[in-house]
Amino acid sequence: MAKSSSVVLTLNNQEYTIVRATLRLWLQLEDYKEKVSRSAESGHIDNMVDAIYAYISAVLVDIEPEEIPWYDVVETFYKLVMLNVPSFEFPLLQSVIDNHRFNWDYEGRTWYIWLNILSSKGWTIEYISQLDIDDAIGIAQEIAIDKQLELETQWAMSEKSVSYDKKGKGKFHPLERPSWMRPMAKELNMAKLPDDMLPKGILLSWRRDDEPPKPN
Amino acid sequence: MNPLNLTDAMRLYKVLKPHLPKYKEGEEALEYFSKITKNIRTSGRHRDYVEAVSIMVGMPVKDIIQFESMEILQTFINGLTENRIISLVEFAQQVGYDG
Repeated sequence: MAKSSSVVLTLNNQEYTIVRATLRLWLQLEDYKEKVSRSAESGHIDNMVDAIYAYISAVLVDIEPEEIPWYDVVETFYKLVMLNVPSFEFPLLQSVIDNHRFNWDYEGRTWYIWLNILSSKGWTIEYISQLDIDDAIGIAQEIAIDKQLELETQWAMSEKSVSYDKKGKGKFHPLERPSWMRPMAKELNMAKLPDDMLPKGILLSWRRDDEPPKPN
Repeated sequence: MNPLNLTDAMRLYKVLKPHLPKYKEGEEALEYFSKITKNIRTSGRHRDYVEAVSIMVGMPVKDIIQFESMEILQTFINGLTENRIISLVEFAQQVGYDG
């Protein structure tokens, strides 16, 4: 079920109705949110505060967060974060994030990565930037799945996918999938232990050091 | 005294961090505040106490020390109340800031 698409905030005795961010703004907000956690954990408190202010200012342009009591700022931040959580647990977003940075990385690149993926649908920049976040993530995931399956087909048809032993018997090596496409670990079944595996005799416990042991 | 903005509230948290006891669920705020005061006293780091008041009222330390000690204590307690110190501690812990 889709999450609520708006939230009402009261700041400085004034009410603001805020709607969920669309894709471009959402990506910007996600960058700020990530900066908040990273700065807090590394002890760079000024950067953390700046990232929270930037998050709020990106949504509430008329507000100056530095003039608002800290608890109202924090409450606003959390409410906005909750508003902008995707409605579904998209596996694409659950993939392990590699913190390795490439030479071609720069701040703000995330938007262009998404634009590159979604523009394959023939949509304009304006249209993509205004996409609902659930739709954008869902479609991006389907594009990524299509691409992976296409690569797997090409890989399966190439000689590299098969190795041969001394007898000339071939063994197929599937193309590795991204972590979010791999099968999930099975949940363990709870099984009742057979009686003969349970401890024998009377179990003893001690209530206090000076008390003699009592049977349970 | 006005409540602090987030920048100054985090400065306050940083100064008080070494003296903050673990908050017990349901503990009275005043009881918690008196533990903070006691911790500062026993640590011998009285500078932290004056610096906290300085942040709370937005005045330099040299001006704070001109006040009566009871007045400073009252301001300190009011500042902890006004700035919801228990919530501030919770927030700092939630975001993973260790001071």
